[in-house]
Amino acid sequence: MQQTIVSVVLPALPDQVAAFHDAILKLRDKLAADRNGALPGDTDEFAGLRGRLPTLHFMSMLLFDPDAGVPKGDVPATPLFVLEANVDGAPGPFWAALEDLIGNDVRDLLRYCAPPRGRFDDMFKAVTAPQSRQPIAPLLERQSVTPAASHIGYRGLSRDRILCHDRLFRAMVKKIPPCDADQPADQQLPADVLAAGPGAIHAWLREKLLPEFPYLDEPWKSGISFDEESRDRYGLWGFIAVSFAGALLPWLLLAGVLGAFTRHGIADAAAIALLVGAVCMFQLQDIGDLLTLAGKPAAHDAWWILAIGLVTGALVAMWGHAGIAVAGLLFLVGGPVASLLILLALLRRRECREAAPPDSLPDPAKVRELQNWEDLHISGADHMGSVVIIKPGLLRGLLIRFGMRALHLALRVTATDGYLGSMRTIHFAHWGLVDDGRRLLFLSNFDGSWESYLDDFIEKAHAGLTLAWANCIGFPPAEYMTLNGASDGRRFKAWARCSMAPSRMWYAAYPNITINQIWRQARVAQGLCARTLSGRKADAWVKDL
Amino acid sequence: MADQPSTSWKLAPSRAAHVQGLVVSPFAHLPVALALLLDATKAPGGAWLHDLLYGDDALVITPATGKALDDSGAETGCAAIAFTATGLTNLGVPGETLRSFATPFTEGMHEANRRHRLGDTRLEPPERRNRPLWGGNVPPQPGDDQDPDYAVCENTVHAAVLLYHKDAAALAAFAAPVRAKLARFGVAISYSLDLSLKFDGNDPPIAREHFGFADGISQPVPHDKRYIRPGTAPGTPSDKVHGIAGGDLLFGLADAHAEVLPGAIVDAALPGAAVLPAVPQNGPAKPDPNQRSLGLDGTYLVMRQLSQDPDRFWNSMRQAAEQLTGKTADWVAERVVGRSKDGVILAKDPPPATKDGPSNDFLFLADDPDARYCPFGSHIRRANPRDGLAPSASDAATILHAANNHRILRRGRKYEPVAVAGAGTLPGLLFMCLNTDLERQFEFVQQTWMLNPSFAALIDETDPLVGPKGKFSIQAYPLRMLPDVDTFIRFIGGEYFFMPGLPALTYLAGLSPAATVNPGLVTETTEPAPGGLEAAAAAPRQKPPRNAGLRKQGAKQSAAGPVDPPPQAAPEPASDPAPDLEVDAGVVPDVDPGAEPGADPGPDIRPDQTI
Ligand code: HEM
Repeated sequence: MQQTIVSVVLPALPDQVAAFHDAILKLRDKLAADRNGALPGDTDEFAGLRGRLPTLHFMSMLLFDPDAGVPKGDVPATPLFVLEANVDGAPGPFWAALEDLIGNDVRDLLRYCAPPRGRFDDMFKAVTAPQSRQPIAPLLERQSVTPAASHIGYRGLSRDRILCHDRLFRAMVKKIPPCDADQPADQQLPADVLAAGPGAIHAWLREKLLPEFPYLDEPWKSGISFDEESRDRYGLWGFIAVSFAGALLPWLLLAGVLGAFTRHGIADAAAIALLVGAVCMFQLQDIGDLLTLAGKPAAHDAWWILAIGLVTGALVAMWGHAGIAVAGLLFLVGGPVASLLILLALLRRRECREAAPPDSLPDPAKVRELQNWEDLHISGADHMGSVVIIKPGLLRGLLIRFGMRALHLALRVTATDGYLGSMRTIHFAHWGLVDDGRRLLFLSNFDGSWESYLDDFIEKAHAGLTLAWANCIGFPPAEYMTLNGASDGRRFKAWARCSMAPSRMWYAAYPNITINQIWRQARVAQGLCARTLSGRKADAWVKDL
Repeated sequence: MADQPSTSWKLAPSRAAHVQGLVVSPFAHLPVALALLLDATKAPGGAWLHDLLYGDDALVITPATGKALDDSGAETGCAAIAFTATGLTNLGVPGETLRSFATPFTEGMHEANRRHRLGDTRLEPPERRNRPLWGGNVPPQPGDDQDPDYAVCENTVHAAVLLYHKDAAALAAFAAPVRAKLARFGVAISYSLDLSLKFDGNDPPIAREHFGFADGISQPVPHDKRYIRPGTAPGTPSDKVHGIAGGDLLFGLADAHAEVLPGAIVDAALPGAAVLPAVPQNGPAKPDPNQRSLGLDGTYLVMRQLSQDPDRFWNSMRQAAEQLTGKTADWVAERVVGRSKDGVILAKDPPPATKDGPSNDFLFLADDPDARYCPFGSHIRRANPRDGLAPSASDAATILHAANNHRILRRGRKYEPVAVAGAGTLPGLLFMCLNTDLERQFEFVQQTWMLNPSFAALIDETDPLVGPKGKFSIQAYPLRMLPDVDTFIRFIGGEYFFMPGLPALTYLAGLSPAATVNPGLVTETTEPAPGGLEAAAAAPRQKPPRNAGLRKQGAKQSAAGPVDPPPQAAPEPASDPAPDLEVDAGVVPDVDPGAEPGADPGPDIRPDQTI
């Protein structure tokens, strides 16, 4: 099963911001209190929503103030309204279900928004006209932004399965002594079964749980289907191939032009590419740092050896006319390498020219208001939303799209077990280009406190974050879009704070279950679905009980 | 010890002369101590401080350079001093300067969201909900969360003076002039606690907390290219397991994010600022010459008075043992702590003890990945998971490094039973720790590790030693055990303090009372009436009432809003400290009289081995 992450983004009316905030709060209070259609035993806030929107994992409605992400003293931007939804299945049915449930409330919110520029202007006006009965779902669907990059902590695990595994886990724990007084004796794991070891424990628990959880008899379905996995892999390879072709293209054109004059267009173009590459390498001496980042301390020597290699290659290509095979090979390798080096050199030159941004100084009262809406659940998930401004210019525009796409595809293929490197704290997160590509939206549903979430990134995944945010105004200075930047913890946190909106309306379907717990409970459920478990498998399984 | 390069470290002399001795030493050679919490409301300005530190018969704040000796060469007591945010305002620190301190410090420990994050709303004695015994009493700020969580402390604290001496009589004599001087200026001792290590008769002697466990074993070991030397042979690499950036302990050194932060700054043009050092260079940009650093060589001191109920603890351990057939109360208690009573780590093969006590040189991932020996949820594994949270061996180094960005240097000491109105008479721990980033270090440990119900994928349980009542998983083969554990620890009072370097003290002592009350942080001189508080909190911004029901989990059931203070203020303990000192510890520090000048920076107060 596929999951979808979408966010509807609309400009808000600047003179209505205060009233809009209140309207969002009012809707929040209403939804939080609504218990209509709640699941049995659900006493938490938003019980009604949880019962009646069974595909929804997380949803938020945020209003970004005009100064969110705008450096001090700059012109305020348009305030933005964002409706984020993370759902099972395709977005269409979800929007329809949302419309059924709170269509008119959302319509009221939309009335605080300005008509979007472009094609859906008319549709927007029809939907928000006084007394309008036009369905809002089509508008929401069309106004939604597809994430530029996203990550899901447990792909393919539906909301219902997560809740089900939680129930199963809790029912199981009840049967293991020390048991509650009201637990019938035949539902308490007997000492002789315990003594018999993991396999016996499994068999006993499975037998006792099966009546209440008949789905344990169904075969276990893994979250990501083979098709989806292949699609992701092809996507990544396709992206690499297209990038390669794109990097080669200018040199191919050059070869064509040169070929019109000389007999060895390819060889000459290769020679030029290699020489240009070598020149760029001299420009990029400090790139050794980048390689040391990858744990290659000998990078500096390697760098010079490569540069000399490029020059030698150029000489071979030019003078040797070393046969079309060698020249072609040099061309295929040297062209894309040269393109990459040129891009890096341009980027680095731009980075060096930019003055370091002044430290962001978040307003204490605003931070307090953000914090008022954080840590609502002593355990489990939290939410952040941020909007920042992308640096102007073609190069930045190109790089941010390229970087996001690369990040997205790489995560799809590598982060299937929820881990980003060594950390697993994100349920659903995404970046999206909004406001006609001028701003970058980030929304995350994560575990733990905001501070610990950012610390995790700063300590363990700063290169990835820097790749995502280095093209944005106010971000701590980065090198090559991957070095420094987010590892500058204090500045990064201050900058992030300035770009956020309080998560006043935030709904989580299972606010007290962390990702690690979701995986732990899924492993337990998977084990219980097996008819028998023995040996190492049983030993591993029993650790999670 | 040659094979134990880790636990001792020294500040370079140029630095040590400016740093308070408590940073480099727990003063374990002085087993008795006194914490005086001061309310200087009636003595605004720095005059009282000036008289205390620089007048006749002055109290010498022990520098980090060496053991304090008086003129005759006899050992004197040691002393440390620190200030709350309201205390600084009361001294006359300009509002601009105050705002350059870290937010947790200026907001104080009892800010509504912070109380929630630190778990204090869950850890207070029910009878004293929203009524900590002491704290800085920072008034509510614009945007503060609404009333039910808002705490007003019974006693306002502006400063803490910590006095250490070798025995009760010497301490009393040491404290007498301090008390007299404070009284002369009208500075009230709003609360005080007698502290003691009470070493037992072991060899080497062990300082045990009130449940009977050796305490003060594991500490971070700061390093810094320029200012900190490992205590052993030059060039010894910084500690593999416990190494942290020196700047996480002291402003002016590079911290875990490679920044050299000034801590707080003062406009150089202001009167008195000339005694302060320049702002240290941070990165390539030259520091602003129009500013001086107030934070340099200082750090933050976290103080939390936690009462301990030993009877309840051992009752609960016995009950838990009954739930787990074949186990003893001691066995469960050792799992709760993660170490044996004498401090030996629960492991398959515990590393051998050193001359200073149990070894602390261990990691979890390789030796105890499934926590079969030291449970995931045990106090020490939560308080410092080391590499234990790594998903695989290849991440161990990253995870250890990341975990060490959240270390705190503990300086707490236990106190004997005291009566707290509405909370009974109980002994406890005056938890103290030093760090420069309160959010990243102390608060992170408390929130993300200790009291996090989902720490290490555990489900619905918190630290079994210091958390609220709940379950506690003990990993075992074939199946984990899951006994119930009670609450034995209550949060009585506490605050964040700034512990300045010695030059900064001179500056603070020279301040005159602020002419105007600065808007950022107002010191309330009288107990604000409940109505006044609500009005103050609600006034500046229109904020509709909101998620009170959810956020106040556990805090809401009891009376909303502050209650009236009990008629009697804090009991002032008799000035005679506890006479029942058991054993003279015999841990006299290695004095280093023959240190060659220049060769050895030599702070020769006892390095950081015990407590
Ligand atoms: C009354 C309350 C407490 C008691 C009785 C207590 C007791 C202990 C004991 C017996 C140890 C093991 C010995 C050692 O390594 O020093 C320990 C370690 C430790 N405790 Fe506590 N503690 C208390 C509260 C706290 C609090 C509130 C914190 C911090 C938020 C804390 C942080 C630590 C840390 C960081 C360690 C060292 C862990 C390591 O590095 O291995 N403790 N504590």
